Amino acid sequence: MTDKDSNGRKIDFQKIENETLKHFFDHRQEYLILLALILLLTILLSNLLEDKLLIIGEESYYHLQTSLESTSKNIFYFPLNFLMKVLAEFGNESIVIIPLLLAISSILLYSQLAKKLQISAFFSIIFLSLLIFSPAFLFTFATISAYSYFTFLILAGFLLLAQERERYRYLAMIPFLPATFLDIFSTFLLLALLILYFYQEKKKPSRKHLQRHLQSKPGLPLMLIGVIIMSLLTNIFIFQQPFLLGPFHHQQRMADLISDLGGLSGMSFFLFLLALIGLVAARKQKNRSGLYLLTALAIPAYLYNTRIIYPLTVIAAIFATVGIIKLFEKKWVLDSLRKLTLFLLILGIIFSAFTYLDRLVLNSTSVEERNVLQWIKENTEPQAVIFSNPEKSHFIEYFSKRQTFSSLPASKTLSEETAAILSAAYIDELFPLLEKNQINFLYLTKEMKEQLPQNYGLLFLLKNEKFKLVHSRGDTEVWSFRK
Amino acid sequence: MEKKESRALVSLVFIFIVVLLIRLVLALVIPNFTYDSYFHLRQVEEVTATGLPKYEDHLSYGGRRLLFLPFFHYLMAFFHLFLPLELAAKIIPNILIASLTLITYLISKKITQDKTASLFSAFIAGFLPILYSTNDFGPESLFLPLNFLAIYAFFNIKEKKFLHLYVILFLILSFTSPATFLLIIGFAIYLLLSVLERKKIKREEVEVILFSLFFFAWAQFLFFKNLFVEEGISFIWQNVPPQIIKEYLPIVSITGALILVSIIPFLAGIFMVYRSLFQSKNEQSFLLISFAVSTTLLAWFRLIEFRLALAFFSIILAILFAQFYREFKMFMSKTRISNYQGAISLLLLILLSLTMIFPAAKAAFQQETPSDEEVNAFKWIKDNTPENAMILALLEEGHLVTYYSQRKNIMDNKFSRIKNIEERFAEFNTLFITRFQTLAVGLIDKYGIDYIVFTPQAQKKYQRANFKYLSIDCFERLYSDETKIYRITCSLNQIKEKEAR
Repeated sequence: MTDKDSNGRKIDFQKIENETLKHFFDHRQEYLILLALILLLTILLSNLLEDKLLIIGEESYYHLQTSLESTSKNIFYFPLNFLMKVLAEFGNESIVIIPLLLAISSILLYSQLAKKLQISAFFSIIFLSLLIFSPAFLFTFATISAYSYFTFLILAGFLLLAQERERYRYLAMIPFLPATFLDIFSTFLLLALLILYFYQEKKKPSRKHLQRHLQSKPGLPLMLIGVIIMSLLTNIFIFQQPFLLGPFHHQQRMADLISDLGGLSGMSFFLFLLALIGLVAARKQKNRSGLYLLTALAIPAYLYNTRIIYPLTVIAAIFATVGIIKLFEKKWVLDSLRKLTLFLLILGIIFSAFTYLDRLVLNSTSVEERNVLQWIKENTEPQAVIFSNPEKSHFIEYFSKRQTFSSLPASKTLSEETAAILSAAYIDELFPLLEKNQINFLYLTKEMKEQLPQNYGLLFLLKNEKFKLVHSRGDTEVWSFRK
Repeated sequence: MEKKESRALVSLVFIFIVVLLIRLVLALVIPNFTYDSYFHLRQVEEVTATGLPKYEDHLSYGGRRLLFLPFFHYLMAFFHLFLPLELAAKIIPNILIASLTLITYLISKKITQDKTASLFSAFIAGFLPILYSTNDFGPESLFLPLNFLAIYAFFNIKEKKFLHLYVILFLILSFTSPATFLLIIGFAIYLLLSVLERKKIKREEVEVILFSLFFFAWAQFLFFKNLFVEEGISFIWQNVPPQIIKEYLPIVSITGALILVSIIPFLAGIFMVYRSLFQSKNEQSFLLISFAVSTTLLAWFRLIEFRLALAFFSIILAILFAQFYREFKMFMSKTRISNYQGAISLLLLILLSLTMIFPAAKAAFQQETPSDEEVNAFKWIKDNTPENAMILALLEEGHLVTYYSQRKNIMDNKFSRIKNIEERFAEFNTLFITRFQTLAVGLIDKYGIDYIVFTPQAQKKYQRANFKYLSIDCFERLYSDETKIYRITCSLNQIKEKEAR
């Protein structure tokens, strides 16, 4: 079995003397899937042992809640709704298996696609390893997220598109079409990928048969792109799809980019550094020029909405792979430093990933919070309005089946009123806001109580007789507000 | 040639000894240490006693977790095995800073190959006013010489022994001070400028820079990962309360720089920066310029403390002075006054001495250190108060409370990871300036304060003789010299009851 390095030189895996390495290269797909599973299952098992919910992430509850609301705009949620009903037989949280399956399928699809597109196995191993260890991948495939679904669909679509037989290539429409139903940016991303793909395919001399096909029958590319544009226009004008789904948390551009700064997702600092090195190293490689175009799309989108971090991390992982290969494939003048630097890099990436896993579990929602919301569902009026942290609104709505005052993304007015309630120092400021917005209950979690001041503000004003502690479990409290 | 070499060596050793002696005399004449030093003294004592730094501190802020790099404290603990701590703390840092004369000489000689010019650099480095905190005990005294020694090793990186030296120095630096990132940023700017100027960068230099970058990132991540997560990007500003951030990260002041660096090296250095950047192709100067640029930028954007940036910058200017002197000599040799080179050099030396030695001494005497009377007052607290007492003293005196008194303080200048720092600082300040007893006692109750201290330093800072809310009912005076110490004898509830009656 042979492969090529970045300079096109052949690497013969049969000639690798180290048995362990040889075994790893021969079974790389299996090991990478195992790696992804170990990391993702670590999150699930840790949550299980810590008495926390298995389904994590506000976006998960957004999708779960939306799938329950059957409207014509939500036909895209039919698959999720269907799966929820089927998996309900196995327990309330069994739906957590979906992102795991999507992770495994995506890795398998990528491996097949890489073979078809003649991407170096060496490159793929490094790229997938970097990606799997990235917090953005871990978070995306540990939660019910649109990007996990999107990744699966576009990999499936491109794999079909890369087939020799024409009829399979037309079948690529099947996965591509649902991929346009997420948000407008995802559709633009898909269009950009398709255009780049067809452009690269036309230039490749080794795929002359496809080139001939494209030249003689420009139908497929035009048809695909045409259908996707039609879908885009339908989504914009009829279904009024958002430009970007979310955000589902208060955005912090630096922290959301570099997970080591406390963000919800992101890439490790080492991956970021490697990506910068790769960005410089790849500029002379002609076949990487499309990456710069994608980067130019992704960065402004990230500044607009940090939820784009997952595609940005994928791009960063590609650049980082280029960077690593460029740095380490040649012998250094100071070779002892090379080994030490590579060791530090690997150590840094792994360390960063495990620190992130630890933090992810620590910040996961506890079972007691769900139980308190279920109490609200069973003991309050259906039209009750609950005030709490907007970052948890979908979670609250999903379990309590009650409306929350504010959720993310929130309008400016709602954001201001939420801030005003949280910072109100006197009842003259607080009560009119609660009454105007018909807020009946306040749902306070441990994190909220830690962040709010104790001796003044909302927590202090709860001592007023108009507030009554109606339920609490552990550190989670429900206060009613009597108008 | 040999005679010249030995003369230069003798002159260098002479400069080193004179600088060291002056520093030691100043350190011993000026009583005690700067306020910040007491934090590090306490850590060294802890390392000596237990083998580990005090990361779980039950005294600072009434109990908190600290994060810092410990190499300096381990090094000083080693010396503490042979010397009394307070003596070692005065001698060793001054030896380290004095060694900058030797290191500066080495670097200047590497760049200019001119012994006389290098001796001038060594002289300047020995008398930079910014470096004359002779009573300061902290990692910066190790960081600065190690940093420049690493730069010297980097210049000679082709030789294996210097490569090993660089790696060892860099490893030590990474565990001494986070300010090592000045070196990393300097390297980054060096690479950038080299690309822009189309200079060929040596492969071994790139390899060493990459290793440095990844090792530094890994080392900082190892120690500070929790801090990065908790504070995000604002860890750069160390959670300093907004009310006093200007003191820690002041706006860059040219006047301040001129005074603390001294006018001749400053102007000569700036001139050489300009020439090296746009005209000269000397690689080593280029690297030094990169460090100068990186330090300036970081200080300008208030990403590092101004004093540290200025110290770093001034040593670079001292090194660049050698190049200035050499070019000046070459210029003079082409003029009519070439016969008077010796006299002009002597005149320059006199000018440098006049413009540097006195400002350096003045800077040393302007160090803020507690007086002996204040130290005695804090020692008295240790002997006369319960072990779990909470003491209110000035922010800068917080470390005196923990070191001499071995009691809890309300605040000190290690702000990292303290929640609601802005609110705490505002209330802390209120306790020194308010006239209202009820307000003061309410805050005293809130923080569980048992004793309050008003030193001459507090008098100077707040322009008043004492706290304004004192009364016999609530505050029992226990110690009255220049420093006043009071015990709290009442609570807010008691005051309210009394008022109600």
